[in-house]
Amino acid sequence: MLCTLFWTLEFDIRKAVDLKTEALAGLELKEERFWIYRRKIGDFWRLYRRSPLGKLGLGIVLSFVAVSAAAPWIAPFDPFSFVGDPFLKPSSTHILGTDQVGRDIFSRVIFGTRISLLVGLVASAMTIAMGSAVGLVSGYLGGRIDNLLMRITDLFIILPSLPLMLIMASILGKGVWNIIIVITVIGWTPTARMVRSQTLSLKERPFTEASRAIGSTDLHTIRRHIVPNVFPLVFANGMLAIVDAILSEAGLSFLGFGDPSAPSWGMVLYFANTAGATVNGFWWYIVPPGICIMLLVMGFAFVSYSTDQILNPRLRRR
Amino acid sequence: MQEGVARAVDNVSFTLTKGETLGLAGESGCGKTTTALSIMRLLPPGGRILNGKIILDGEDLVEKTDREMKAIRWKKISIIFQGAMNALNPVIRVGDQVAEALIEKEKVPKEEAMRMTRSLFELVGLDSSRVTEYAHEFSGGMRQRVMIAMALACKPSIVIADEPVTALDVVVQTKILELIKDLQKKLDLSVILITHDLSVIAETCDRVAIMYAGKIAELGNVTDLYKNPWHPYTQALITAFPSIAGQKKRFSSIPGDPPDLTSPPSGCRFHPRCPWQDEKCTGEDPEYRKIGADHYVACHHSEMVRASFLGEKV
Amino acid sequence: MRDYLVKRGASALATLALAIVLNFFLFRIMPGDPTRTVVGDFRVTPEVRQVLIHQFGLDQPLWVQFILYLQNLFMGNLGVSFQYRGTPVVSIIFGRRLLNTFILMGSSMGLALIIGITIGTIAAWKRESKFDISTVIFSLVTYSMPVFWLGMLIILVFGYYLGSIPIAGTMTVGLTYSNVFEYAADYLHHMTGPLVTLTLSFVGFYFLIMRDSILDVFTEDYMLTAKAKGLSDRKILFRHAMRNATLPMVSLLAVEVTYLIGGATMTETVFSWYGIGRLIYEAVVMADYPILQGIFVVMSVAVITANFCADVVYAFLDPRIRY
Repeated sequence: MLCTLFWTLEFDIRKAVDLKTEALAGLELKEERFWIYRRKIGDFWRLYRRSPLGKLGLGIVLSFVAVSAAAPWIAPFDPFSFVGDPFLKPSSTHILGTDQVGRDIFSRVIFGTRISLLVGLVASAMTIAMGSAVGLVSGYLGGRIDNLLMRITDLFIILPSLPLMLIMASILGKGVWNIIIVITVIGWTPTARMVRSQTLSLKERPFTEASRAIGSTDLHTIRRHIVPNVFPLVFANGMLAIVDAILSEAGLSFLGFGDPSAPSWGMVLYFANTAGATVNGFWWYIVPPGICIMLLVMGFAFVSYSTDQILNPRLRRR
Repeated sequence: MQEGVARAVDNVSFTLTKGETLGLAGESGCGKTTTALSIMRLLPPGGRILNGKIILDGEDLVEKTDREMKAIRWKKISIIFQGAMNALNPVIRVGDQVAEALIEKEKVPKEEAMRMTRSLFELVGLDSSRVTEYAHEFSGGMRQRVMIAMALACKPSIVIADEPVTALDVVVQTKILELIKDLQKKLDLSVILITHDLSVIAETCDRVAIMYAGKIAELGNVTDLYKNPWHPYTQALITAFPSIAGQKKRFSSIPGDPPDLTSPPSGCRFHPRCPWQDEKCTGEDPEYRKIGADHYVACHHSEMVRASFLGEKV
Repeated sequence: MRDYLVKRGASALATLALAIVLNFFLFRIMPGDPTRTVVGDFRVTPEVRQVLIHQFGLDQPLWVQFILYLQNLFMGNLGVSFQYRGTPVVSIIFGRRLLNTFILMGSSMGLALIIGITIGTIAAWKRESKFDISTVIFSLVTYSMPVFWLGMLIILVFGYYLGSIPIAGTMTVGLTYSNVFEYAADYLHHMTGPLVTLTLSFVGFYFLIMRDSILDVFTEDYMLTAKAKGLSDRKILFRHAMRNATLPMVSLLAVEVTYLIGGATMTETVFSWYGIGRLIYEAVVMADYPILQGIFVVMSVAVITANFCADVVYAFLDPRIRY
């Protein structure tokens, strides 16, 4: 972590003097920052391309995204229509057979990609946003606010998330948005902890002091100096948050909290379970949605691992 | 950051006689530690010994299998690392760590091993009741003593001391160096002392090899070298050292930085920083040759260099 | 060390206090009729309803309710269940179910730990070998699988196709046992499915963490010292590396229990294992809020205590904190 900070820090310190004088030249400043970021992203990408696991993960994720985008064209049937007899075994018309009311399972799995992916991304984005905000504020301001926020954070980290989610879900009721809210409210804490500790260490750095010394407001300091240095960490963590969100959504849907009108893979499995697919041996109903969940999660996990390898040079040493 | 293959040690050759202290001196990254680790075949996973021989008691260590090396380690050669802060396992009692060497390698029963450990502690000047304590309860100098005690447990013939006093303050430094010298005499050890500090070398070593960028620049008797350096690098090191007795003069440091070993300079590796460099130096790697009874140097212009140091005309 | 423990203890108590407060407010923010929390959607006779409302002070201002809540809490009164027609929540939670969950969770965690730690250590030692790569892949795969799906697969393969394990419950219905061993055998037979599921879903995590931790330890100087001493590989690995590597795992353990409870909930639901996890699910489905509230409290206490115990254990294991 330290090396990443120095890497970005070097840029900052070297530019600190120039930027101050060029601040008046506005446009030039923006452009310069653009090129700095672009260079950093370029470097990152170069390193990333070397890792086979990372490429595999990215490939998997992008494939799913492609499938979800092209769903209406790929899926042979409408996922909601009753297109055949119930409980048909796999055949050439229905690759994965039909479910208990005669809907094509294959199409449902294809369309399920959209929901699972969407909920995963939205929920994790909100989780990270909330967690980062709390972490930044807590770390930067310190004092009583920090104490209180950390106590709350500790509590949420300690309490088992699934039961908590279930309890919250029972209060809020079914629905995709409720699931997203539940995931966010219960999942923001690890990010907050991490961002806070990072902020704390950054707060002590010379460039933060320098920034304040030349009279920047707190908000400005946070935005310009702390955020860019926290960002790589949050990004790597973000991948894991997506994994958590996808699995949580699948779990909650499986237990019946999903929205039947927006069936994710978890929901397909919920229907499978209530139809007794396990005890009747309907593997075609059970295996595919699960494999999709597993692959998508693995995809993101690989991306996260590779990103971590790059952004955390200490790991490279080994 | 780049990746590549670095020749950390290139064509390094020296002999160690019984009972002598040989110094390996040079800047950080010049290959001294790598040389030491190679002797014990302790190179990290990325490292390999490409060729060469390491003869101990008539046997070539490079040829030995892993298993054979394990038997040799600590019994014939042991090593003291720099900054014993981390060199001692923080969750095991220090006495147990020392006794471990005796129990595992010399097959000494536990009771006896602890007794021997206690006397080893006394030998290095530590209170023997401290064998039950943990590493973090000792100060830097004391930890180094523990390491020394541990290194001597199996009565090795060679001890490698890798920057043994670098992390310590000057007063403690002297004590530890005296301890090492004392033990060396008492136990008739041969010591390879690695350091970047020439004054340490001057105090403790009989011979010294000055290393630069993975190669030996000059090797010889300490007194000879310090009075009579033939290599520009050696010269620069010696003149860079301020002397209380001598004239007041400005600090002269060596301009430039040590080279990147993945792509070293052509010809003589020192040439970019050498005031005597010419085309020969850029083109040709100097030969490591003998210029005295026990004095070797690798430089194209060593005569000129030496003469200039002694203030003679070329 | 005492200071450390006192600090941790105080912190634990503060967190517990927060949990209790949160529990109170959580169930009162529900949309709709506030009496739902206590009295539920069930058709309860108006008299009973009134009694309950009065007992839980729902006709009183919020702060009074809070006092009543605390009072009830300290008297061990966690309310009465809806679906079980007035059975006190405490008797539902602290009964057979808790035991079953303990046994299941305890054994799977223990198994997953032992396997994960050992294999993780070996994999780290044989880094980049076939063993290492295959175990890492295996762990990543099981880690990415949703627990409930894994359970379903196990039921499918071993229950349906192979018929070797029962697919639901903690024991065969209607069977009488002639002795303890028969009973235990049947119980264990029923536990196989959930045990394997839960263990598999967690072993990957422990494995990866341990492997990571050991690789970290390998970069430490004292490992080079151990190697320089010419000790056997086994000694180096298990005596020098492992002891240091397990330290971070201990801190992680408390966090892990958290995920374990979640996993157990899923597994119990899939296998109809008569435990607390299943209870949560049932209570959620039946909107039995008193049970949920009770579980929240019990869970908080359990987890906070577990964390504190982990802190104590860590203090004993790491001599640096001890002094």
